[in-house]
Amino acid sequence: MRALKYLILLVAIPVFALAQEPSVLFSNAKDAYDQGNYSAAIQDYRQILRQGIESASLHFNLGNAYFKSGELGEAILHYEKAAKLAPRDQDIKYNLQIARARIQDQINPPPMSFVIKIYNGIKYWLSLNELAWTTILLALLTSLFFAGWWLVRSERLNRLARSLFIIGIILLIFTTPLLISRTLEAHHEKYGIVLDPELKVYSGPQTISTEVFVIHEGTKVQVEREQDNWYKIQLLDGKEGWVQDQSVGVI
Amino acid sequence: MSVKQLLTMCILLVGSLLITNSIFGADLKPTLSVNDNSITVNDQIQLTITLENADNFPTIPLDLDGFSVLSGPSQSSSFQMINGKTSSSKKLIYLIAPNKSGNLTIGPLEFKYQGKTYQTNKVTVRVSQSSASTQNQNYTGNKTKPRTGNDSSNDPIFIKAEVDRSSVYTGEQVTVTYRLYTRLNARSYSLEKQPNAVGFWSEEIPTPKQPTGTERVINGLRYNTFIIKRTAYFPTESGKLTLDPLTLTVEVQAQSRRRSPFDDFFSGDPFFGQTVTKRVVSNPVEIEAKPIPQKDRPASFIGAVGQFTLDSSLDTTVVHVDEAVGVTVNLKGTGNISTIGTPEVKTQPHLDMFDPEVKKTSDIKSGELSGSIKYQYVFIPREAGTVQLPDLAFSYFDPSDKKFHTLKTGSYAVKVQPLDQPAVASGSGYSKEEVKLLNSDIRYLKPKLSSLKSVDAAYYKQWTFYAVLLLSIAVIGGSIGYRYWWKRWGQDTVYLRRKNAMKRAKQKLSEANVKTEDKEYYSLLNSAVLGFIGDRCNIAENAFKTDELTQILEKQSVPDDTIEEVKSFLATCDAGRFAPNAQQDGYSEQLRTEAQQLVNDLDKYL
Repeated sequence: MRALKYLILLVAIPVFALAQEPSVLFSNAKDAYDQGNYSAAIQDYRQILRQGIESASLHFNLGNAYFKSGELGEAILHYEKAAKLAPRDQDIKYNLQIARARIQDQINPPPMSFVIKIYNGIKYWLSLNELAWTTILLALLTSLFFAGWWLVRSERLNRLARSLFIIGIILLIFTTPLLISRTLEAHHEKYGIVLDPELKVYSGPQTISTEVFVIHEGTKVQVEREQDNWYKIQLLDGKEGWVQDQSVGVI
Repeated sequence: MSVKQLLTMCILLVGSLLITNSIFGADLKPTLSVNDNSITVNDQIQLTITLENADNFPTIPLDLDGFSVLSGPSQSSSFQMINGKTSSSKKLIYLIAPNKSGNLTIGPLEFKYQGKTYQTNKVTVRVSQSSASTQNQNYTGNKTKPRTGNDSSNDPIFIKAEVDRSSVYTGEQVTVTYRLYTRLNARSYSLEKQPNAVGFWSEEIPTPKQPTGTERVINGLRYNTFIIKRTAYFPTESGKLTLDPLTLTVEVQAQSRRRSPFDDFFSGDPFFGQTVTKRVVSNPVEIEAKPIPQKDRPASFIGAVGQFTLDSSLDTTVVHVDEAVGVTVNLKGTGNISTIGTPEVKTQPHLDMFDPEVKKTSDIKSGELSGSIKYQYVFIPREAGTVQLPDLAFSYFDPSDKKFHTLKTGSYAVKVQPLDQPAVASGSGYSKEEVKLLNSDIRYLKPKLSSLKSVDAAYYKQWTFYAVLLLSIAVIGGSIGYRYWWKRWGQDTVYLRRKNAMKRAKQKLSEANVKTEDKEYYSLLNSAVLGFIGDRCNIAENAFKTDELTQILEKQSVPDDTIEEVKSFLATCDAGRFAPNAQQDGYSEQLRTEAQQLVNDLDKYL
């Protein structure tokens, strides 16, 4: 079914849409969405994505369109992508929560301890790019305060610059390791969303391997390894197995 | 091959006719010898045929029973002349290896040489079975033992799947080693097809990326062997299971073995010195997976096969209603760690239980899969009182004693204190919150496209990030540098006077431009030039007289004509200062230019 849709998309694109303006497509999609024509909205949003650009609201709206057309996996995938770009957006959080409530597999990670919750809250409060620019601008400011401390002769200004420099250094001591750990995470910890309504998980990267278990659309999995066209996945509760890569969308 | 032999013989024949026949007819005395009479099946020995007084090398058909030739013959000859008598000996040396054990006899060998038939002596070699050999230890109980001489063993290159055991219980580890045997110069290889393992859970056993070769002898042939891949397989079903063959493509350097000088010409190998791609397929492996016995099987058996230990801990003993209690169960051992599920825990009324968080770590140590599984169970008591947490039983099957063993966690009691506020009643399956979420609609579209970014606009791919980083480093480095510069030079008056000399001179000259009063005009020009010299030489401006000035300038190696110019200029200035109105306007303007010129000239020398 999905394959057919992509085929239609593939044929249709060159005919009527040669790299349209993203803003035009965005408003077209909104109109289609309002009329209940969700597949047209999806097409328009995807066309913007295909130009190699993205934004939080684009992923959010695309997620909405998928949600309305009943494709829970794609909806959650795009909400997650949106949340990654705009981690403090309440609308994204809310819709993601609603979509997640409809997942068939309720794999609940056990309740987290209070300290870890707060730590994660701080760690993921900013998106990776926001954190990076905050850190680098903080570094620039701190260096300017340092210059002030070393070079300004006026006693009062000198003292002020020194205090600001110390505050800057303390903040950098927090943000820099956070940035490094987030960057490494972004590189090494890949997560994916199951796109197939029902996905068989195998013991090895072949369809003739033993079937280990079955997971359903929308479930979040950690992608541990890639081999040929297969992902080795791990569920949040530790179960492992292999799935075909087109069945999982990487966030 | 026959053409080659024929040609070799012809050339040998012609050669023999050309070589002198001076010692023709002398006794050949062929002797056969070996370098070692007592060997094991895995050893190689050197076989030497010595021919006295032969002037060329005869072809000796080497018909050996129980041995095969690894290489040879290599030829050596010696020639002696004592008291006019010549004696020569020729040696043919072969490297041979036994095919079987026992007392083996080599020879007597018969051969023809220049029309006559000769016979060598015979040699007996005792070949013992090498029971202690490390090479054979790997094969105990192995069906595909390389020495059984199956069809592939005469190929110059082949791959063998070697199994450590062929009959196991479901869930028990079978280690399959794929070993490449080659008599060729293998350059590189790539896995073309991984073996399909239907009915198995597999774990790779890491092997070195650059396999090192070990030497093995099969049917008397020396092979270099490389371990290509080692995999631990755990049958997940019972019955006769087959592992498909593994296919490998190997780049081989085509090589010629130098048997005789003619071989190079007649080898017929067009790939000499080039690489050839060969495709090798391993043998399929059959493994019999016995089912885990039904008899005495405990209810808590969840498929674990191996040897395990269990320990558990409770994180708190006193909680409030609706607060979580964690029980950590740690399962450690050797066996099919990867395929073990989660032990069932009996549910209890008034005690909510969550699926445990499972952390598996596994490692392959000395070829066996071992590791640990950490189950973190979370219980939430919904009523006050003393709650007995359900105990957890875990059973495993030990294939070594063929028995089931059951491990149990302790039975934990938790004191649950009542809550001040009434607890939220939770429905079955969904919580109140979840029900609310299921019934509500998603929030509406975002109106603005917001800031568009390139999909791979990671910060570390942007030059601005590095530019700002460098800028901050530069600011810090610059301020440290400036501070040191200031410390070194900023308080150095001599340096500062030198540095600012030109600036001050120019300032005075431009002041002189707007001054109208002659007296001051001349005095400014005077001080511009004298001040410049004073600043540069660190002397107070008014402290020197004309003759002193000459000395100072001469010391700085200023040319004489420039000194003269300075002197005459200063004299003119003095005249102007003390006898005003004596000069015309045009002349004074010229004087300023002259001062400028002088400062510029002096700048070169001071």
